[in-house]
Amino acid sequence: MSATVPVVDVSRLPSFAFGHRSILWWATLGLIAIEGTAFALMIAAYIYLKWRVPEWPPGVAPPDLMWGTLTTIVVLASCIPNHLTKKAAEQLDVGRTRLWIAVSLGFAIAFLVLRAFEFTTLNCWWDTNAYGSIVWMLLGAHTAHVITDVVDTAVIAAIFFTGPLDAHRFVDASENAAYYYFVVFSWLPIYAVIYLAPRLV
Amino acid sequence: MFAGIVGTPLIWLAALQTGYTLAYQACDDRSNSWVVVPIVTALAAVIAVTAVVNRGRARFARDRAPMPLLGWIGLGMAALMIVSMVATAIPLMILHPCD
Amino acid sequence: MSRAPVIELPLTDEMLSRQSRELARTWAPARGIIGFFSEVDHKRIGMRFILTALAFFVLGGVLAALMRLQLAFPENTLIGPDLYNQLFTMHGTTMMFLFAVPVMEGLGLYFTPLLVGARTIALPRLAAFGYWIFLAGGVFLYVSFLLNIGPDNGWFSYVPLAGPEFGPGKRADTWAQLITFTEVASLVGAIVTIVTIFKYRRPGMTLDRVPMFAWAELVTSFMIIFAMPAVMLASTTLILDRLVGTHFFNQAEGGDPILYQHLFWFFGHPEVYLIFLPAQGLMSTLIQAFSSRPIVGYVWLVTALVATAFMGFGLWVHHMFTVGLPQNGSSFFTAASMMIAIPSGVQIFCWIATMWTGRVRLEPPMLFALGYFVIFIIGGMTGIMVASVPVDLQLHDTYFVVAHLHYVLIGGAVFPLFGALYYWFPKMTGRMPNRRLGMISFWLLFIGFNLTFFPMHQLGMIGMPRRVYTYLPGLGWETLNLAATAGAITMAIGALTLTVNAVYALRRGEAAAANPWQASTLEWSTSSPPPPHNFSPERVIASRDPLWDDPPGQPIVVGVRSDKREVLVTRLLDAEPDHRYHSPEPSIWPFVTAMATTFMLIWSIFSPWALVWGSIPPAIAMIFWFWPRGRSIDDETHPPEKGRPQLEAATGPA
Repeated sequence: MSATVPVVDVSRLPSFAFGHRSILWWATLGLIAIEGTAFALMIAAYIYLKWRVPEWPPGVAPPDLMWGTLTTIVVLASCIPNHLTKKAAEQLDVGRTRLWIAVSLGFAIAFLVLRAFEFTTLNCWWDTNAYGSIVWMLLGAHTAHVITDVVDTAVIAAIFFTGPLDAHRFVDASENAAYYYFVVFSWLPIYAVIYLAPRLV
Repeated sequence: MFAGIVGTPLIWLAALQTGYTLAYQACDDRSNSWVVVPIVTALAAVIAVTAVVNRGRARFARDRAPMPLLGWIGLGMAALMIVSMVATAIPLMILHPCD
Repeated sequence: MSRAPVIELPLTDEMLSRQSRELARTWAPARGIIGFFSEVDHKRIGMRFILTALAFFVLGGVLAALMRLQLAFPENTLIGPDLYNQLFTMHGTTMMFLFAVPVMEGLGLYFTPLLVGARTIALPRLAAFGYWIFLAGGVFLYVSFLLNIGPDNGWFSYVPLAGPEFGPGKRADTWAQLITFTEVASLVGAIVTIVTIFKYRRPGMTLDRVPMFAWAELVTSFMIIFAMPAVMLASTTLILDRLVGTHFFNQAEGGDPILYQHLFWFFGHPEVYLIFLPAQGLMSTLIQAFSSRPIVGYVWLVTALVATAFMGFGLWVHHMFTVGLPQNGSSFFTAASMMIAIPSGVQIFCWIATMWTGRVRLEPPMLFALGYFVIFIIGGMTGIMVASVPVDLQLHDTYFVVAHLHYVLIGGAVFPLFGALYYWFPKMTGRMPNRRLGMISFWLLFIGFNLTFFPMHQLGMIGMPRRVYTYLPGLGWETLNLAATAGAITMAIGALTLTVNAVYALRRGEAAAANPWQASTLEWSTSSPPPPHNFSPERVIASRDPLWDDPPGQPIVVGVRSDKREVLVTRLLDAEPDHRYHSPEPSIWPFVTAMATTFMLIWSIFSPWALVWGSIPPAIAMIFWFWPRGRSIDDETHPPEKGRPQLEAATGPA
């Protein structure tokens, strides 16, 4: 008869988790904090430069509203398949995750295509003046995030079709959807700054 | 609780930035109210947050382990922010808006 | 409420040692050349950071010694103006970006999991990537310097001097891209640290039982996340102005050079706190250990760390007092710069109280901690002085500021760092350093430091400007400069003594026990050096100082697999067990990604197309990095077929 020792037995605990319980969620949140700060500082730089000159935009017309607004509408609509991807992933449903992640990918690619058109109707170049520089920087930085999101989503979607699949991949899909929300919602203030701010009296 | 810790410094930073930006306006209008008003408003906000944090801290005092620590951190931060904002307001009473 | 209750099991010592051996096999580092580049063990990555950062410290010190030799005599001709500009730029850049932040990051990577009782760090591959990027950036900078295209516009590289009009060639671009390398390394280190401290703590280690150095690293990591993007923006806009003709800082086209200063110093001021806050955590650690009592005022100390972190973001304009900004705006920053002394003061009084009520043991680490008191307090006093706008208008860009910044940085960070390296040397290497050499190196450094930098206060007040390669005779500056150079030589000998001590101890030092200093935190509960899996067995924590205050017979945590790399993830506030998580294995892809990224960043100095074409290799490398290598062996992670019932445990409430 051997003596017993007190133990905490964690073997029954699951080996994966969603949401704020998951490591990947925290890593994604860290990335969102960093990139969000970068965008906030770019917007602050825009406001600083605007404040330094009497006429804004200086010497050029403001960016045309059409492509930017169209992008914004498409991007807001894309929140629906994104939400459905997240939900399907959290329920570990292979079939529905495959469907909605493919749809989300389609929307993200459409976003990118529309964004390419947006660049052509900004009515300024990055080397026109400081205004042009900051507008191109804002749009360019955000586009870089869209591109990385398209690549991320494509890779995860590929894994869902080719395998190997286990629950951790569903956590990946869920966190990728969370990151996409950041890409969408960081666009809204940038849209306001690029398209609406120059039209304010 | 976490909001109590980050809330008061964020109010202070916002007041600092607003006041600093409005410093130019204060000179244009020859009036220091442009810079004093944000600080006084922020001071009021911080005091309000402090009261909330203190209630929260007292409620958790007997409860889950790290809450008292977070509560005290929140109160400590609030106290420091109040002192800092008062310190920030003092030169404004002495300096001319266009110095 | 807990899903992992305490039960009684017949666990024998033999079973525990068998598990320990299995853990050592599972967590063993990968071997060979490929293994070297695939390393994910946080202790090894941390050690690489520390050693590389110390190597840069030596290089930065050599650059400083060269400057001091040039300034020893008026109208000296040892070094010309152009090389001198490069020397002070390289010295500042090296010390700030390649030494001070990375060495603290390295200590954090090594010790954070040990302090919070975890088997490893979170996101180990990301940490590995961070090291390679840091190393690549440092090598890139020094190769550029040796090829005579190194930066020469100061460690902050102001426009317009660094801009396209006045800064031809690629010098400013090498600076700006170095920033990108080191900032990425710091940011990934910050994320890794936060996740480890929040989610990997040992059960029972509630947030109010977390050791002081871990708190310091946590707070610092948050600061890094919010400060680094500013310098990223500053360096990126600088390169864009130089490379593709943007006009961010071109006044003729609506830009503003002051914008650069705002962006840089919004980062630059928090940067010094990034260096200083971990050192405050080290101070608490050393004072507690060598006063043989728990630190007085834990709550006050943690509050002070958090307060310093926030307030550090509200001071940046004090670097710009001479730029022409309105005074009633600048006065805000004067007030804030003075108020930030309050948390520092609180910490100092807590430490004094700890020493007063404890039994102080004057070992070399404690001497370094005491050195902090003298040096940092002087530096803090001169800081209050230059925080005042009228005083700063006279002292800006003089040697007074050089004296101030070295007093706070060396006193506030380097002395605690040396103390901590001495303190943790036995744990990291399994050998005890030599006590007498430790004492000698302390005194050489302390005396040498004061001899070097104290005369600079006077030099600044009698008018010697910064960043001048020589000065005229007859101004009364000669003796003070000569004294400073003598001090620098003394410091160099002190640093050499420390190095000799380390090397000698590695070869011939006496073997170190698990807890040679009778300290209280968890890293001392395991062997010196720790096994690859850090701890076995892992006991639930019951107090802030587990090795002093925990009752014997605390429950052992069982059920985390030892046949594969698994860790226990716990909850943020109260460290209750939450789920088990598969920790990533060694992989070559972080290294490959870092090299591909390096190639892209260097190419981008020469052409903007690098961001398009050059981003493809890193993207491919990252895809290989993240591509899963087979399915998890846990049955419950395999998703059920469509229509079958879902797994409850996975998605149940926390």
